[in-house]
Amino acid sequence: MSKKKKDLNQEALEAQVEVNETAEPAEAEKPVERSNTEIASILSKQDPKRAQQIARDRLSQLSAEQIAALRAAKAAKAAAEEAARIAAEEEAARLRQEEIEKKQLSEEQKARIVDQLSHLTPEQLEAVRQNRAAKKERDQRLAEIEERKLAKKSGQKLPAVEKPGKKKRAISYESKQAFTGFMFVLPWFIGFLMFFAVPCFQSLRFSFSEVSVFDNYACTWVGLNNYKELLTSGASYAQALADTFTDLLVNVPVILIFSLFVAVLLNRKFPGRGLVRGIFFLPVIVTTGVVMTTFNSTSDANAVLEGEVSNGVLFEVADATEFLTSLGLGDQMTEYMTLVADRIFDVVWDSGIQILLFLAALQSISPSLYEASDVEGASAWETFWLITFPNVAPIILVNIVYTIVDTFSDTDNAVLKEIDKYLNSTFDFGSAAAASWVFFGVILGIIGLVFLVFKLLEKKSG
Amino acid sequence: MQLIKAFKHQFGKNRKKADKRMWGYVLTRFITSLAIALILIGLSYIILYPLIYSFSQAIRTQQDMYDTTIIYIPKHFTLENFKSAWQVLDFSTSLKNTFNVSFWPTILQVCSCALAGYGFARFKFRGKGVLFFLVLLTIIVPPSTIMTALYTNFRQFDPLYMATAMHAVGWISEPYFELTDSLWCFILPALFASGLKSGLFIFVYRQFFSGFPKELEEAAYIDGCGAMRTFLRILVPNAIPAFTTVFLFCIVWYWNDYYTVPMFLPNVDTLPSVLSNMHGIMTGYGGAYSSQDPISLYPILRSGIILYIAPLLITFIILQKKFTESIARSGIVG
Repeated sequence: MSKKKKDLNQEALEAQVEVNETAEPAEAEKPVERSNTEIASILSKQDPKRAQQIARDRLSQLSAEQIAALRAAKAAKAAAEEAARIAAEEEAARLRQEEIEKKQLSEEQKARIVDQLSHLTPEQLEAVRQNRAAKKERDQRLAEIEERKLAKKSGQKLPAVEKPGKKKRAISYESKQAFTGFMFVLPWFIGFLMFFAVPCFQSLRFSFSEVSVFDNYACTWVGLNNYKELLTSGASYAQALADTFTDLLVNVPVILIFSLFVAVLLNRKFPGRGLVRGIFFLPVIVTTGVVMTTFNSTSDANAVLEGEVSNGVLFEVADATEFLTSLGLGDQMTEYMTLVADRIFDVVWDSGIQILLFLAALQSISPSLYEASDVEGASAWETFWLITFPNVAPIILVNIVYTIVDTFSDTDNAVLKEIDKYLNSTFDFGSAAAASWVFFGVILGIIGLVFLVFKLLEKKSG
Repeated sequence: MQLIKAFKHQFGKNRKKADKRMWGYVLTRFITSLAIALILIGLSYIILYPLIYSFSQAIRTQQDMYDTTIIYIPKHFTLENFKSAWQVLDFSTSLKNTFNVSFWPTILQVCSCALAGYGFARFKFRGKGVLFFLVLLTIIVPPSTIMTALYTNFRQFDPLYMATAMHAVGWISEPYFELTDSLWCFILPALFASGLKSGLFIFVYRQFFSGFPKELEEAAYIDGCGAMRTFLRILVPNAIPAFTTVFLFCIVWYWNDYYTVPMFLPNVDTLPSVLSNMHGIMTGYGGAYSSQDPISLYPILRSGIILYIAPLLITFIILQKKFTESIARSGIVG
């Protein structure tokens, strides 16, 4: 209420200012109007300069007392106007207040009405609803008619502007947003259907049939034969799957730990950081089967030729094995370690994106957390496990999934080579499709398992 | 530098209190920095090793190849290897082909994936969850699963029976479009955000756009901008880092692709396909180098690799600042 009053006061003030403003510049004109309004108006239209001169002449003829009297009269008039306006506004304010009070009352009544409604049967309720809807419709129509009348009165431009506005109002904001959103996604969806869903379906059909490549890819249904053949006859496919799986078991933990480690290092401030970061992302840019195979195929010969250990193996594997066993590590552990050392080149080259993801996660951690831990006297070790690790944890899942997918979709992996063999040497599209679907099943299973483990871990940690 | 700063900080303030503890602090810091520097230098070396080594081999003469005293810096410099590699690769043609295969689909994909990502990030509509799950599914499914089917699909491309209808009217002679061996089988999927690894890009965009403050868009809506105009005027200029990241990844993956390109475009020689056959081209029947010692071919092979990497490297160096900026703004993680 006080707000309303304030508003009113302000309005009144503004009105006063307006009155004053209109009053002052009119000073020169007024005597003219009084003496002979018609002539003055005609004159001011035809020759404004002359009218002003006449006014000035008349003013100069008047005595000081007369001018004072005129001014007083004007001020009185202005004051009267102001008073009338304030009174009118007060009246309006009272009316508004009454209205608000009425509304409040009706809100109190609402509770009662709701109470009454709860006693009604569903049929009655429906009737009430229909009644209300009908009333609303009627009101709307009446409003529309009013608007149209107004529009007709004010000119014919309005209806044209009004129409699209009404159409927009007919659809709710949410449904409109939903529609726009779907329009944004629609191109992808069309693409998905054309270039993913349809081929997927076709590939599934291939996997259940004998495909004759030279007869326009005609399919004859053979049921599960392709799958049976794949998994029973010859061990090459199963072997390839096992190889890839072992690869994965080694790669995922090593790449994860390594990339997190490097990301933490790269997140520190040191001279030349930009350069080092650039170097670590370089594999993302350059890494490709072609370059890698060319490196590998030529490096062996070079190693022999130049007596140089290349391909990034930093120390002789035999020595390393001896060293690790002498440390008292188990055979399996030793094997794993040497396997890792053997792969250090591959690991460094394969973890570009993982480093990137971890680095992004690290940079989104607020520095104030580190400052606080520093002030509290936490060691670097504690800071890592209590601040860095929990903040990076969500990315670990993303990284695991990415590493799995990357390892599996790397065109150099054993299974894909096996599939290529079916395609290029025997043109057995059916078996190739079956092989790739089994492969996909394995991937999906592994990813599902990872998700499950993460869910369980989350539950455990609260 | 840091060390000196730390030192000054410690001793400049209260020199009298410079006791053993501070020496210990400085020492541990020094050792840590040294260890980190060593690790980073070592790892950088592992990464750069093949490049440095390739480059060093690429600029040496034949006779230096047999000189065991030379490891990195050759005694006789030459650019002949690059010339030979240029000829063997037919570099200007294959570069043009590779550019066509990678650049245009990349541009289209960067745009179409942005639209889809924005749709997933900002709007609520029925079935959004399911659709986004499908996006993730496209990331997981290995390309080989659908590749053959996609190939047969492109061979006789008939979207929504449009080709059949056009055939019935008599506009085209066959009831399908044959898209294989034309750039269309890369451009069309890219246009509909279903190209190479586009699921991943949609994901990246979605993460970026959902981290974007909503108020700016709302202001634009209130000022009467439509959704599309808001997207173009408000979001796109602010999403330059995300666009750069996606562009870089996208063009790199298309550039390096030697699995789908030879399949869909068997008659087009792109750089990866030529490079993977480079050794064969040189030593094969009728090849100019068939009678030479295999070791003498290495400099040319290495020059080929350098030539192949160079355009990517240049792009990377140009975009690197924006790229790291996008990481700083956590365009990927959100």
